[in-house]
Amino acid sequence: MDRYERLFGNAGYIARRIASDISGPAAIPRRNGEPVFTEPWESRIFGTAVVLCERGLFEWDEFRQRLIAEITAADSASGEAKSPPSAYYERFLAALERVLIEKKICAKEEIELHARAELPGEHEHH
Amino acid sequence: MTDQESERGPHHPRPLSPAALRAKAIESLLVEKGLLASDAIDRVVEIYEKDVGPLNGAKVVARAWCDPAYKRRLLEDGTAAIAELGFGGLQGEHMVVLENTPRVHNVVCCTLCSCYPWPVLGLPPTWYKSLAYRSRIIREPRAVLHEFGLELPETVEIRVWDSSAEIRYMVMPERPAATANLSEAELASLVTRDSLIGVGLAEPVAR
Repeated sequence: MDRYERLFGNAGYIARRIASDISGPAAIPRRNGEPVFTEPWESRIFGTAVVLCERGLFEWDEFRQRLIAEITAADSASGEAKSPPSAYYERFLAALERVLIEKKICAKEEIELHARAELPGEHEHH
Repeated sequence: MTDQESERGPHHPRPLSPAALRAKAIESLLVEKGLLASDAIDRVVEIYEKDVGPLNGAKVVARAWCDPAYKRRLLEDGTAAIAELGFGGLQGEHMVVLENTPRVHNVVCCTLCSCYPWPVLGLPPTWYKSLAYRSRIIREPRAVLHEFGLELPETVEIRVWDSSAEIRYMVMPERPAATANLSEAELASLVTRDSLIGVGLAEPVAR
């Protein structure tokens, strides 16, 4: 068991794993050390991933590897060395979706169904 | 990136981006499955912003706790000692670091506006800029600290420091007990934003 985990419990352990990842490929966008969320959905999806991880549905490192893969794939597709910060949470979202499906936490069809329901003008109430 | 310079207040309402819609869909699906509660997300984001925000200031304090010579330099000339660790951007303001001791507890505010040492502390919390904090912390510091959940013994003198355009303050909290064998990085993780402003203490080590 890691020393941080003993000190702060699982939730603190995850937060600090993320906090200490300052310059790695999956490091979250920051300004002066503070996380930068340019739109509310970015903080929501970030919080979602952390909560699921705290609940033990997947390991942070598993998610991080998936995120790095998404970032690498997007970078090579765009031909640019580095994605703009705004793209980071789009990769984050894609990585989370893949982990949810791979871990059979959600089915792809369920996600698509909910995505359609969120479209403006299409309110499907279950 | 002018967007990031502005307050995080509401922007003009506009249609949600495809990514925002997708994120909303995933959140609502997970809530429906009982795997997620919306307030749990709020809690995580809050903890995260609080813990990760003041990283630079936390590193400065952890270094000072570990290295007496650095601590001396930091208290003598905060701007230069902070620059040693590679944190700049102070734009001519002078940084003064205030050491908390068992007898003196320091708190920082800005009564005129919201001067804040953001290169070391990140963006100021909303309450720091509120008129209530700015006016009350000077008049009744003990009551305000009580509202932050910080009870100090009557024997501790509270000093309130009013920041200005020329001088920015940062508090160096006392090193928590039973941290002798922690590394500098682990110590830095105990230094919260609130402790650097003086409305809290560095986190104790959980047992």
